[in-house]
Amino acid sequence: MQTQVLIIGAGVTGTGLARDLALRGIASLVADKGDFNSGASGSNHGLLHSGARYVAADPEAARECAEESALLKRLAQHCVEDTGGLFVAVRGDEERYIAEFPGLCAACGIEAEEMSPEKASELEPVLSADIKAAYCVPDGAVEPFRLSLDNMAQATELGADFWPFAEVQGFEMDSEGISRVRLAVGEDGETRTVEPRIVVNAAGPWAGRVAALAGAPFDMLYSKGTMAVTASRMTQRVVNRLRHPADGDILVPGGHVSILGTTSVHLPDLGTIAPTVREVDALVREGGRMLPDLERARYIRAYAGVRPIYSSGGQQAGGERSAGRGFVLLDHGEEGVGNLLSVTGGKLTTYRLMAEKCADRICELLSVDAACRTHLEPLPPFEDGARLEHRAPERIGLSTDRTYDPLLCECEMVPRSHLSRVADTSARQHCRPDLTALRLRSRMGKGPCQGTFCSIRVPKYLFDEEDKRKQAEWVRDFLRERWKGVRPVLWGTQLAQAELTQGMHCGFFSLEAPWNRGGE
Amino acid sequence: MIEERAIHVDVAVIGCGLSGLAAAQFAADKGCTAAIVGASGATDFCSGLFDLLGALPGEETPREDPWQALEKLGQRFPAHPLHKPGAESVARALERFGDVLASQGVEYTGFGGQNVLVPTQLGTLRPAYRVPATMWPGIKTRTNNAPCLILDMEGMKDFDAEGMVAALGESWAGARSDTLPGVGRDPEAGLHLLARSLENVRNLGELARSVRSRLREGEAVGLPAVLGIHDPDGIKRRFQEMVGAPVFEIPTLPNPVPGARIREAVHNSLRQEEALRTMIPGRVLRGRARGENDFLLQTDRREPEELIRSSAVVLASGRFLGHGLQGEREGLREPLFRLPVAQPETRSAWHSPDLFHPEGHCLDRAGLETDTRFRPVDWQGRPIYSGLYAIGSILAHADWMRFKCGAGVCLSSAWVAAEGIAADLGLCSGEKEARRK
Repeated sequence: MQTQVLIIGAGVTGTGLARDLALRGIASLVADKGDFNSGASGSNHGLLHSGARYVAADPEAARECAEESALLKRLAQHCVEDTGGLFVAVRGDEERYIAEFPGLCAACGIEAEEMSPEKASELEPVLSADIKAAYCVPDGAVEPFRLSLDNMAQATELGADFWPFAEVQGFEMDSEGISRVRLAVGEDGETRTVEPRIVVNAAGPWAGRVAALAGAPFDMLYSKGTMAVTASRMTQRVVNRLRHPADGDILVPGGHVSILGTTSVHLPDLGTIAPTVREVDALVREGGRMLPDLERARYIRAYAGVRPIYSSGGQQAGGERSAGRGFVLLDHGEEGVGNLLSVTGGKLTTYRLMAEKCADRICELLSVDAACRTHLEPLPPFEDGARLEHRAPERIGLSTDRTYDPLLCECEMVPRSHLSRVADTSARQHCRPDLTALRLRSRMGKGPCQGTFCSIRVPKYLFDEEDKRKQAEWVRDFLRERWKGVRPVLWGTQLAQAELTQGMHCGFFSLEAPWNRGGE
Repeated sequence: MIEERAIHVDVAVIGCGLSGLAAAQFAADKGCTAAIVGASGATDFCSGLFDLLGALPGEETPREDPWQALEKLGQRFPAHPLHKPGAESVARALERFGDVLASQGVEYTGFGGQNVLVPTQLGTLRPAYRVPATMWPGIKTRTNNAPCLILDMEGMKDFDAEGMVAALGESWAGARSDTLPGVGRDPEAGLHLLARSLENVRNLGELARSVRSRLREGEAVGLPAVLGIHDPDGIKRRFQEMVGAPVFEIPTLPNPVPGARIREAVHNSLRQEEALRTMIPGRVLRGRARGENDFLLQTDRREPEELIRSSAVVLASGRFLGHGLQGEREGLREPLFRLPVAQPETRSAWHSPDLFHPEGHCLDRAGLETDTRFRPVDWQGRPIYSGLYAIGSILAHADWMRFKCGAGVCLSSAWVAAEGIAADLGLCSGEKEARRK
């Protein structure tokens, strides 16, 4: 098949680019080896940076964040919670950094309002009594899944296409560059060939590998970041530690939970990325300095992602955390691949800008005269895939519809009707609506029980007979994936919760037993 | 002194799960005056299947003969709590507990000395030693691949008849499924309410009519376990007559009805025991040993149930759900008597990265170390208090989930503890009657 632009990677950058191009009248196909946001876009804080975090290390990135976050607050309101943010220093934190902070913010155009520790404690009562300085900044929270789904939805309406579970196998080259791209698609890895005019490599941490397939390798630094999710929301605002960025110094509210992060660990390669007990302990300990309740809180899971950091070759001073967070747009023309662009690095907050710059370059290459519109036009909310606040309306007396609609995920109150819609959407996105696809597109399985019960209930109502034959396998795969995040936060109440999970699925269903694992 | 307000008994049992109920029953059998304290919902997680020893981790197949497995267990896992009592005590514990349940209309049955494989709704097979008699025909029907109709009901979220039939596939080709209309106004009312409503003969008749209209000649009928909480055997008999075909129950997710049946049956039995002084539906907040055989427990209840003084204590408080053990970031602890807990060195070693690791998680083998009489011991292996016993899932090395040995451990450790307590008190089995006089 032919397309003007093949975008590899369905994270925020890839889907954002598809929308940007679509608004300029350029058709694209987005292909990802997984589903939406399988990489860094799906495993980050969901922090809409005001930029204040980068004022010392990377003023340029800070400025970009300031502009882009203001834009998103206006144009993607439904994906953003404009919480505001605090930067707080606790006793013992570096005086110089605290003193320079307001000036650095001002230089980057970031409003930072000084606030007495008393006033800060009034705003966020769970702050430590050890707070000695506080600033108010325009941080916010953003839902990265919704961003990607909405971007892709509008792009699709305007003619773009999305292939999930389509992994690049190889490029066929001619004198201009890439002529054909071979992809292995779906469960059985059916080979499909795409003939694009331009290929954009937006594969996040895997960008180096994809480029290498086209003979244009570059190095990336892999920096693993781990985050932990509390069972309830701890603060109204984002709370940052007022110091040089380090472990456990950001707490971001996300709906009715809070997300504590993050760590930064160098990874030699991209193996299995799972959060560890040690990382979570480090987060909790450090987070406890700002908010002592974080030491006592119940955590429902942890997760880890890899920051894709472009490495220009030489060793960067100060380690990975201070390595540039600004993005890079690589034109591989010099290496003889005239129609390959790699876009990498960057941050969730600046995804739109990355897409814009990339689309500008594509227009040049295609000799198309079309201006960017994503900084002007609001991102339309995509109703079908909307990750609604599904506090099932009939339960709170708001719905007049009395048809029976069972809550399949009781923790997050997700009813069958919602999941059926999500399943339809998923199918339209060429994605088999299994438990994992449904979880990605809804809040199912994300509450305290982490799928213990809904993994049994959802198949009953949503799977056909054929899929039900393999029920045990589905449940096992789903819970295994959840377990990666659950394992490091098992103490206190969540440990009791895990006892129930295991009691049910191992003790009773015996899913671990070799004689019940025929499929493996 | 506050102790004067305390209830005085020979033995205080902490925990109302399977092991606690059994310990209270066995102690009462021997004529010990007893008090039992615990949340009354503790048995609600109990599937109702009684396992003894269904599997040895590392083996590819479930164990057919649990008694033979018990011998192997001694070689491979000598510290396992099922190894301590000896086969005879294990057998007697199971037998006595079975009799107690049967006397209340909750009969259990099995294949003589063999395990049975119970099919679950996910299509998996779960080994058990004894199953409720109401489930037995299902085991037979599947083994013979006989025709059967598996039913669920509209609004029954936790049981999927179609899914079960699909998942069992070829292994039960004679099975088909259907869905009955929901009963009552709230279709989500749940299995317990349904079970209670089926204790009413009219409701049962209505259900039977609905089943009959869907049934084909020669089919047996399988339903999730909902045929009453009290006297399920009687209800099943009546239902079977009404339907005119063999009927069987299928175990379900927590909270399953058979767990509530066990609770009700043992409570009823204990109520008839003169030796049982009190059953307190609360939680023990503090435990204090005033001497080797002198304990004072403080509960979260008001007087006269606040304080219990006893010469022996049985800790049947379970693991994390039951609050018998507390898992903190720094490690595990036993909160009532601060007993040492055998556990991995760091939290990183608690769980395997694979939830379904066939050998199990290290944490599931953590717990209290005891002597052969099930008294918690210190690091040198000496009992900490001569009157303090620990039984059931709180014990180290048990991992009931992988060994499929939950009821076996609970009942046999309760048996041994009751014997030990009776011996300490100078009671032997014949003495119950004498003491009553």
